[in-house]
Amino acid sequence: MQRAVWFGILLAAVLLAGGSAGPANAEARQTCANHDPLRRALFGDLHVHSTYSLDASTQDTRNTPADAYRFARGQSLGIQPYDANDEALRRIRLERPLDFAAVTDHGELFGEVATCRTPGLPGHDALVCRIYRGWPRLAFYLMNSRASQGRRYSFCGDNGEVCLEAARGPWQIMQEAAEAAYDRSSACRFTSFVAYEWTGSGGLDASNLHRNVIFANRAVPDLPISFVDGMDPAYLWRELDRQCRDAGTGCDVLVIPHNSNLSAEKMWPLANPDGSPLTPDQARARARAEPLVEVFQHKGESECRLGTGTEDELCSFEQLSYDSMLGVQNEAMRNLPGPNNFVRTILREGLVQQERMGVNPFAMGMIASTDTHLGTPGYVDERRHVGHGGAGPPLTELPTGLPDRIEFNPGGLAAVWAEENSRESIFAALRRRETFGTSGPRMQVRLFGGWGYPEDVCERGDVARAGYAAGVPMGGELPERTDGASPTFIATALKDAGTDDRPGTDLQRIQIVKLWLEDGEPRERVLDIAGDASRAADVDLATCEPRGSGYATLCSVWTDPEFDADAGALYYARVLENPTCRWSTWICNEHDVDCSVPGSFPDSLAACCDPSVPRSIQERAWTSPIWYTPPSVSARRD
Amino acid sequence: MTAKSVRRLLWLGLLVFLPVPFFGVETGFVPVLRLFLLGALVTGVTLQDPDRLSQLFTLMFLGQALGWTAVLYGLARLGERWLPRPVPLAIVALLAIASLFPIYSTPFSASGASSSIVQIFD
Repeated sequence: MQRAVWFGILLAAVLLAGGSAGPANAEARQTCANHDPLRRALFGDLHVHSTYSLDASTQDTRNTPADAYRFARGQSLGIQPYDANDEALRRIRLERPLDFAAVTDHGELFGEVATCRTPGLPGHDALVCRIYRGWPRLAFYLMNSRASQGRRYSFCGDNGEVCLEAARGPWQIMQEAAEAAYDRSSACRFTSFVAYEWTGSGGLDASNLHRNVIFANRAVPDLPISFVDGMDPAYLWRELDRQCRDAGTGCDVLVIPHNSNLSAEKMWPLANPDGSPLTPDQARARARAEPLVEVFQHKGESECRLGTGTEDELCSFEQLSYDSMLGVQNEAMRNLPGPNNFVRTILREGLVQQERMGVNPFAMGMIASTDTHLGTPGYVDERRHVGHGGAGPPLTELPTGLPDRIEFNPGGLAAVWAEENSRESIFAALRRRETFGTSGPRMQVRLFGGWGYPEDVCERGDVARAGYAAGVPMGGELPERTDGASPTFIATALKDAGTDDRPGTDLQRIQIVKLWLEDGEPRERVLDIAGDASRAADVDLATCEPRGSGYATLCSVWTDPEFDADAGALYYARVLENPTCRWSTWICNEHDVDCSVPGSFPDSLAACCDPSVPRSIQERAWTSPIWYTPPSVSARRD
Repeated sequence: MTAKSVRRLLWLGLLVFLPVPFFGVETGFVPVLRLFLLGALVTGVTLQDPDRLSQLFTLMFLGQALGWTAVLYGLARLGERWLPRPVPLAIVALLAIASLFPIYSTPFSASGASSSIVQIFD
């Protein structure tokens, strides 16, 4: 009997211990009152920098991660410049709060920046720290270039231990800020993610290999795994496996590359450095780690570029005329972007690689974000652009003209289809790529693919139910083909409602972008499937008032008439609004710039008269693709 | 004032006040003195923590600073030889006054694109 009692006590202890030692991600939270099994669109920003990023801090960004989350939730925020009393001279606020956000400060120099800013820390008086405090712009280049070579300064100690120790402070603060901002009540108003940016560089050309690392919950590695620790993205993925996914802590993570437009075609190598082809294991590792790509942000669009592997005229949207970060600062060091800078090329290349080895390394869904360096997530308003800092001009004085480089833009938003506004639900949506990116507006876009949706599904009014029931949503892979059918897609778009004061812009059309293989060669076709591009809607460039009308909603069922069941393919939707004024046009108009009278406006507005800068834009959304894999290829997948 | 003094004064004035073009990661027009200052800072960092890029920065600043120093010395010599005595002095005075206005376009400065001498050395 006594033995039985002891056994019972022991069993209870083991069970209790097992319970308390469960995954740290067991996100203790109330059930969301607003739970929709058919999912709803949530809008957020997964690329935000605060004062803990070197480049932000050297531009006098003082907003912390906590400030950034407060801003995302709708509170007003001061931004630089600051007066002698440290009062911000500008104050901004989102018209509509975001649903989710992640502060993604550069993980490379947390310790160095903290050391240079905190008196008493070892290394605070090092020369480079003195330069950081007295000559921040110079320090920006020096410290970034050091990190871009995977090296630390000697003040960090022989193995970097001094700076790694100092990095714990900011990393902890970032985690605490994300935790404090996360709404765990049943209202589920806001979700935050612990995150950082892995700031890789491809060499002396400063080609951009940057990636944001987003954690599913509060179980995260002790320190960010940075480019200084390992200069190969594969190292990052391996370490994330070791320190996160396989660590038994409940940690989960995904990696989102961005600005492939500035990568000098190095973001997605199509072969190994020795020229050997990618292996299936390499492809699996990449696909597992990087299910998404940030296709649009402050520093331009990365979907495609007219004349660079495509004749799609709508690929001339928010393009940069150079292909690496070096070109941002110096016109003499600019090269035109090549085709492999762009997501569309790489999605096509994914089909080629998949046909070769059975695994698609580049099966990426799409999001967009801002990349703000002011700590102002989601501030995408063309009408009130304040600049985003970072690679833009230092914002240490009140801008007298254009607040940013004219080729940059206010950035975009990440959108997910999730059951509820919680970390679990949003992260699952990111993982399954049920996401889309927008260039700023909050239009709601759905894309479903299957083998025989009824043609009248749009009229029935139950698109989501029908879409999920008989097919897959954006980001998915078409189920097994039935009876020699061709794939059918339902695409819907609901225009951004805007606010009472400022209603959103009408939609113009929905397009399907089809990429496929023909005799092993990648092909593309772009088709309008809903709306009408020939409607004469445009914008009055003098007043920025819209002229003509478009659509509040669009819906279409489209069947691929040229489907080849033996060839891999993918389909994504692009939704366009009617034309509106670009941010620069709003500001140039505000200052009454008259380009026919040179000298009548200050130099800071000279770019208003650059004929290469479009005065109007068509805001848009890009959905994640839906893939079709032929049976002959899928049989080789595993 | 001797010819040598005039030459030295003109040379010094040009080094301190004349905006010269600078080419690097950023571009601008700055006094040579500023290039020397930046060069000294970067040289210090390079001596402490040498790496390819900091060496490149050092070369960039000091190379251009030394090059311009030589060019301006040549100009000062010509000025001393060919210009009437008060003119070099007037040039220095004019440059000094002009430097108080935002005539410089400053790379590696957080104070904006156009700066005065006070702002760029602030």
